[in-house]
Amino acid sequence: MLFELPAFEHVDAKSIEEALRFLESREGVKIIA
Amino acid sequence: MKDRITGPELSLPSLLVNIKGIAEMNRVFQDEQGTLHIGGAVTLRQLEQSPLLKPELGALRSALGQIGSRQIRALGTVAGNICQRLRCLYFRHPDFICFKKGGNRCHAPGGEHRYYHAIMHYGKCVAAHPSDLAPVLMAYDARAAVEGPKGKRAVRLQELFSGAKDTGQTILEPHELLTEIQVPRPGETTVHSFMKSRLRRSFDFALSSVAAVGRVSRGVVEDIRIVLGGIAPLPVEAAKSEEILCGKYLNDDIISEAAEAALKGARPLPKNRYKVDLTKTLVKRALEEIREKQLNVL
Repeated sequence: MLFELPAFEHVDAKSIEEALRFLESREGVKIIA
Repeated sequence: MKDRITGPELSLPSLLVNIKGIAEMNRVFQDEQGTLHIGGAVTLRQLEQSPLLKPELGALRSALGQIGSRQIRALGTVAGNICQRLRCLYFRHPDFICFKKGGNRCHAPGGEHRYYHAIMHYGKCVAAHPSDLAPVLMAYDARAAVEGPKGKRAVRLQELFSGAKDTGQTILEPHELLTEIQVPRPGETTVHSFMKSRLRRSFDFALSSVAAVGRVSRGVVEDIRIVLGGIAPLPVEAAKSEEILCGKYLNDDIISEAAEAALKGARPLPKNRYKVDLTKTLVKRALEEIREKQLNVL
């Protein structure tokens, strides 16, 4: 199961503002750190 | 997420946003007032090794050293630890649609609840909040900085947790981010303790934990904050115990009285009654450690 992680679409946020824009961009967006 | 937990109110993410590269969330610094600012994406190891973790923040250092394993601390973050999901078997099992996933019942009271479930303040869900960092930060009166489309706000850390009443665990809105933890500078005479009981001594989640931070002068408690972890859906401040202790000489009798008061109103489940006595013992040990430490501060 762990190795299925790359199946998720992911993006890198460079700033808090950019992360917030991604969060608002569509439903079901999650943060990873 | 890595466990692919899903339910009517819990779906797999459509997009993951990596925040590790955000510089302002990866720093630890002290401002002019001495408040410690800890970015949400700071790793537990990074914080543990920070030179800004002064001796008066020793309980925080102690808690950090007891979270997971060294490998987990190297990757786990401060905000991640505070906002982590429950350890409940039923919540994590794909065949059980529990209350926290949008189902209409909690399976734990009639099933497995020996270790990671609550003995007080529970509701429809009886799982306990698993974070070690949250109780100790609450004991230091920390605040959480939250940013979202409506701007920034700071809340006292205890106000961040929503408990058992809904499917979430925090008051964070879907488009909000926990960006920073702010810890006010404790006085140099602050005494503190963090106690944790766990099944495996090497690394494990807390069966129960106690964080206590305060000031004691010539044996008399001037001010103290005691927070219990691992025994309720959110970290619980033992307000009655604090009230009993303030202004009193910290002797064995008052320590026992405070420990009893901390668990007053506990409603353990059939298989986790032991956690009541366990937590009382941890409260006693934390206060005894504080009594020892204040002798060294004098």
